[in-house]
Amino acid sequence: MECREIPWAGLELDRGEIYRTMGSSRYVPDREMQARIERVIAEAGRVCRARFGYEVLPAGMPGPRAISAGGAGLATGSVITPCLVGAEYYALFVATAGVEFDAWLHGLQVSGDLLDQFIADAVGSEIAEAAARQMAGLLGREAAVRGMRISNSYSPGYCGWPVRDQRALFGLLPPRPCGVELNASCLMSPVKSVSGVVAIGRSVEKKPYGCAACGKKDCYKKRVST
Amino acid sequence: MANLNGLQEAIVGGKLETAVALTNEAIAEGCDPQAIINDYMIKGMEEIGARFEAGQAFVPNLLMSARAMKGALDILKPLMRGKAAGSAGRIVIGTVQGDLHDIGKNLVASMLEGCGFEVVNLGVDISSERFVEAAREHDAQIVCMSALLTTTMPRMKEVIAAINGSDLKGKVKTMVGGAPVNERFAASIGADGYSSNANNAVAMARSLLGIA
Ligand code: B12
Repeated sequence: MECREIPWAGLELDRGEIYRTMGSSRYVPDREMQARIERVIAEAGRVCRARFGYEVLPAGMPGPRAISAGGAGLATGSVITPCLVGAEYYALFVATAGVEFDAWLHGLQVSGDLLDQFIADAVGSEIAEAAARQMAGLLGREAAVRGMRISNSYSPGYCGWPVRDQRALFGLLPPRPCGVELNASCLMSPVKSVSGVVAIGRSVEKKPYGCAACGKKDCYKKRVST
Repeated sequence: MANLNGLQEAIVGGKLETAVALTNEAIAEGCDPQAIINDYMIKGMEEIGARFEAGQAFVPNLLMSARAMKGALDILKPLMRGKAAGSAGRIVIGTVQGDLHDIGKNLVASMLEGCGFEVVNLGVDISSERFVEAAREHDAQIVCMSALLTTTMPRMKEVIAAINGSDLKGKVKTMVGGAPVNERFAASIGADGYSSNANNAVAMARSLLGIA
């Protein structure tokens, strides 16, 4: 697995997502707060080294609720599995804001102002998400060269895929991929990291996220109405 | 005359400098610290809390208000030493073992502090033993626990069991929260309180301690 570092300028942080994590989809920060957020983003940019990496493995689908990648089973569940149909390969990935960002965030927690800490935390979440988008972008381009398409990305802990499967997923990646470690509770460190799977194949379709069927009423990622 | 209504507004608006300046003025004029807190500052926090519940204010607003409140409280506290009414209660808070998610817990801690509780923030990755020790050491009335994932959430049950297996049984209330936690889970592990957000955590803490 190649671990790729994303240049800060290439990250494309979505301000809307940062505001959403800080408040809600209706939260619009006033000018003063926006300036503060931009300052925190600029400070983060000085330390952050976001990275991603993926491992592409031959795909199998033993049933409607599970996949197999390189022969190893993953319990992706009845919501996600149908979105991976047609896969010839699966890319298993990690994307992370990086240890440098986490160390900086931790430093703020010890010394800094809680508001800046709160903003930096939301910024870090978006950095991890943006890194995952960069991963998907590259994967999509590489697949296209081979006449293939990719699915959306899906993560353990979402839509009925248990977080515990992080162990199986990490088992398919090299040790400490991109510096990301999984602890006994299946928590990734650096905290600002995401993991998941993307399907690759000639007949793969990018299906909308299957939130309607998931049943987790309070999920923030729920996209039923959109 | 000290501008105490202005102080209340500064708390609602989250204006730290203004709140501090007006508090200093009020003290210089001999206002009673307890009255400043109860009649103006806490009212300000209640106002921003109500706006939050109504969807007219957001976490950053709560945070700004709690900051302004704390700034003003830090000035008033030394003047009230020995008066029991100075603290709404003592709370120990931490993120459970195996979990490193900090920010949600810190927000709760800050809101509780802003509303007059004495809060000991233990940090992240806190074992059951440390929760119990800290509760004993600080003579806490409530132990608050936070978790990010369904895989770390069960640790809360262990902490509650450890409390109930110690001399603190019956003396300490427990409150839980964090993204994957809900009311049902909280009830199932025998937690005394749950809240989905930092604002409501204050109301929950007050009700657990029988404070109106
Ligand atoms: C932002 C976010 C991320 C970010 C940052 C995570 C972080 N810890 O910093 C990123 C993108 C990196 C991420 C990654 C992952 N995430 Co995530 N993430 C979220 C999201 C959208 C918001 C969390 C957040 O920071 N909220 C803002 C803070 C301020 O809120 P909070 O911590 O919840 O605290 C508030 C309340 O909960 C409450 N509270 C908190 N503690 C306490 C304590 C007490 C006593 C009380 C009374 C109240 C209380 O008050 C706080 C203030 O209002 C949630 C969904 C959601 N809506 O909550 C999912 C969520 C937490 N993530 C989830 C998952 C699964 C993951 C991943 C495992 C996915 C993956 N495979 O990559 C990883 C795990 C990361 C890791 N390190 O291991 C799941 C967890 C559910 C589960 N199955 O366990 C959630 C719930 C989404 C979902 N599926 O519904 N995530």
